Amino acid sequence: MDTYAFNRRIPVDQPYDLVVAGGGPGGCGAAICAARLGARVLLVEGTGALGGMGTSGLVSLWMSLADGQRMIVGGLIGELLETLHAEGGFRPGTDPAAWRQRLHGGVGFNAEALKRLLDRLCREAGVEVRFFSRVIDAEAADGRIAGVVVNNVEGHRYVPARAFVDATGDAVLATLCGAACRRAGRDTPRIMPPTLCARIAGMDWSRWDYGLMLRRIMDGVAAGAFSQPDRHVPGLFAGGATTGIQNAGHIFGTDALDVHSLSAAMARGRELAAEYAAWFRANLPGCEGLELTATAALLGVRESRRIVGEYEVDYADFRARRMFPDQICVYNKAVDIHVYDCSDAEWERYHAEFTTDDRPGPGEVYGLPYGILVPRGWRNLWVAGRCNSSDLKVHGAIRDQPACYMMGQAAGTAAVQAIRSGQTACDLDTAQLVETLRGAGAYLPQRETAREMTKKPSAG
Amino acid sequence: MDTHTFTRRIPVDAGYDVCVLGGGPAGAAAAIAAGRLGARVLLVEGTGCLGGMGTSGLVTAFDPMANGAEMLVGGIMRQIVETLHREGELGPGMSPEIFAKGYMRWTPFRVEGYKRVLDRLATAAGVEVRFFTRLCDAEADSGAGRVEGVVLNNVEGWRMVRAATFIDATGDAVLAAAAGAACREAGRDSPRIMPATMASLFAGPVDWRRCTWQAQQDGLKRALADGFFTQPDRHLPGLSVVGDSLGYLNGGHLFDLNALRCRDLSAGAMLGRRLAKEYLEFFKRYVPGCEQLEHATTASLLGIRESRRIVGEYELNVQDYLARRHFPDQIGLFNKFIDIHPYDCSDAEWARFRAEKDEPRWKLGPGESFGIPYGVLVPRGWKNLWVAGRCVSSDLQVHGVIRVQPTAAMMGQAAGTAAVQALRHGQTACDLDTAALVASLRDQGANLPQAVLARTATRS
Repeated sequence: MDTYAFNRRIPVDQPYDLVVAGGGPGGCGAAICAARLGARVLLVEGTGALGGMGTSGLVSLWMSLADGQRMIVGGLIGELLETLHAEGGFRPGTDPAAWRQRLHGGVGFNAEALKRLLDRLCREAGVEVRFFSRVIDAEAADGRIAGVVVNNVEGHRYVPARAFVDATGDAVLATLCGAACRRAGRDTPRIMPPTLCARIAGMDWSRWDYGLMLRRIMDGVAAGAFSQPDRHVPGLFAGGATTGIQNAGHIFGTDALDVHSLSAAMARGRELAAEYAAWFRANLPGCEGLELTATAALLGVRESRRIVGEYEVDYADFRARRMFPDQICVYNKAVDIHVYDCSDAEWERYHAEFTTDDRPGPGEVYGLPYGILVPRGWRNLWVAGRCNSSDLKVHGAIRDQPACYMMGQAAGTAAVQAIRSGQTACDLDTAQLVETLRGAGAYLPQRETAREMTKKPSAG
Repeated sequence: MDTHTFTRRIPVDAGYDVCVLGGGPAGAAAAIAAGRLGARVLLVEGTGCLGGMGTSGLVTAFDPMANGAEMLVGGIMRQIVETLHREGELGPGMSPEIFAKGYMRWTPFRVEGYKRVLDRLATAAGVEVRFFTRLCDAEADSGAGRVEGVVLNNVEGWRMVRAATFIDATGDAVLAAAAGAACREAGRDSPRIMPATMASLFAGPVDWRRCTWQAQQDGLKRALADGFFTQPDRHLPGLSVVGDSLGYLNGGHLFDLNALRCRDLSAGAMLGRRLAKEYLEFFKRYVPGCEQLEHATTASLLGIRESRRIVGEYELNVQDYLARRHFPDQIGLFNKFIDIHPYDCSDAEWARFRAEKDEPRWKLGPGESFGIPYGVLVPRGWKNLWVAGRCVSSDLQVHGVIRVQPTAAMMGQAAGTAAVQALRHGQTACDLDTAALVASLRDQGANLPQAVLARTATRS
């Protein structure tokens, strides 16, 4: 293949303590918490807004927040929940029990309120946010990144820093540095399909019946009402008095790491969004005035690439509800691997995994250990978000925004600890980390902590 | 300043006839036109959709396309509007009486319908679209006036693309500047920068009979008197109906925002969101019929009105505009008023803006039009590079007229057609047979009624 020798002298920025690539849940968790600890933080985000999947992706819904008795998510995500509630970011009349108590409880939110809240928290913490900017390359050797190349309308800029968090969702920075990764569709046979979510308006939520929707979807599929006979439709979720989001339509066979597949998925996703909006409007009570407002700026990618970490949390850990001394959060969402196709077998597989098989019950949680954030052997690089180190099933459970916020908080906190103590990512004092996180409001119920992280060579 | 030497061998894609940078109104039209003529076209777009300001920017109303007697805008743009109308994707109450005949009438539209129409037209024209892909750099010989290749970046990494011709539809003349073409930067080559806006969609129910343009202006006066706004901004373009329960707001100005500076864009995005919320509250409190408005969404791109323009073979100027000048090589007709938003909140600026917009000595009347000559698309002396959209060559005042979507589309269609003609007949951008170009555009349905054509472009 023809190659081009790209050779440039590019300007260098003043060094930062921490560069965070990606301003979604993982990146915001890392940047805000690190800055609150006094670090000089640069947050690089490709769109013009923070919040990632929850805002630009319009998956404006946080689920699995409590265990029937208490809230299991804490720290920054807990703060976001309470602040959004106080500032009218939820549908009027939303009961706080939804996130403070209800088993697997969730809440839909207004993406605009979250965007503004994250803007404000970053400003108040002193995070430097560069919008419309991307990390496009890195200089790294011997498990250490020296600096990253950031590109935007001003051109290229080389940014040196002491620590880096990859919150790109696609493990972009980790891959640029040569860290070992698992790529869906290459290292696993299939790729979980994405959805292009949408903002909807004109709803009468008082007459909306989710259970009825599920039944009518089945009828519609049987009657051939849809362009694809997909029984798995997450559906509509309220985020305001008459507004909300639509999460419907799988774009099967999409590889988010292939630009042609990604591009085609956006166009197909827009068609599907329009199709489902029209169907909801015609078939369900409360939807008579439903209007498709806008589809999301980002594709709702569910799976792409994950690092191979110091620890790969797996289904055995999940089933055992394992607690780790170095866990940086606990969670209770069930395995949620969306159907790979429209077959009966896939529908049954998804349904069993999500609704029955080992679904955590009242009071049950499983822990996520620190090592899932660290590419194996790396000294100053962490990941946060869906590109964490986990097996397929657990990845399906922990890829959601609340878990990503908690992973981000842990990564940012760990980075600051490493900078201040001289420790490395792969050899961090996790007892100290857990103590710091607890001090910031994280819910970490493990009885013991440990200086050394839990390490396990991942299989294969 | 410290520099870092950055070296990579990057893969090359070659064999394209036309590479279009930017998939907004201009770029989409350029790519569609070139594709329909059978060229191998690559369209590079940074977001996940086509339509630029009209979609990602949420400027969901087309500026006046008719002059009270006839529709001035033809070609692809006309086809788009007629398709949207047929498919019910224009705002309620829109009709050809308005968009094809009206004088100084805007045409609101539904953003999702517009995105899907562009997806379909690009696909049908055989255009290869790469979404989430940005232009990072260029390889050019400015002495010879030739672009050799463009350096792109996306989730797959770096790519050098070689093509026979290039069209810069980035809005900010990014490719032209990177290639070394002469440009005028607002704020550097002119004293002020037209402010930007972050547009919004608001969701109803809205009583549109009461929420008239006048009611909005009256409410604005009362709110200003009350000191309601953080900026005492008298210029409110207003809330237009785009759906049964949806309104499009073009309101709130981001003053002194230099779109070529990441810091300004980032701060502007955050301020834009705060202003959008402020305007939501304004409408609820001060405008009858809007008491129950909710925020549906803010735009994912800032509404940039002015940044950087090329110095072209011809610089269209206010004398041309006031003379209602038609050119042998004109590639589009238009008639909108000089629309340079007030640079600040002063009385002087408000008076200046109002005069240009309303006074007969500045404004074209019913039945009138001026022409946009081919030479505004060509950086002076360049052979295989064109620009289209708001970065074309004009003085400040005419820029204030032609920076809008319908003109961008006409310019894009002309650039795409010119590129293919240059390629096929061994011509260059700066020495194109403009008689042949106009004939080709007329075949495509462009409205170009000039009686006399010319082999060579009109030059400054």
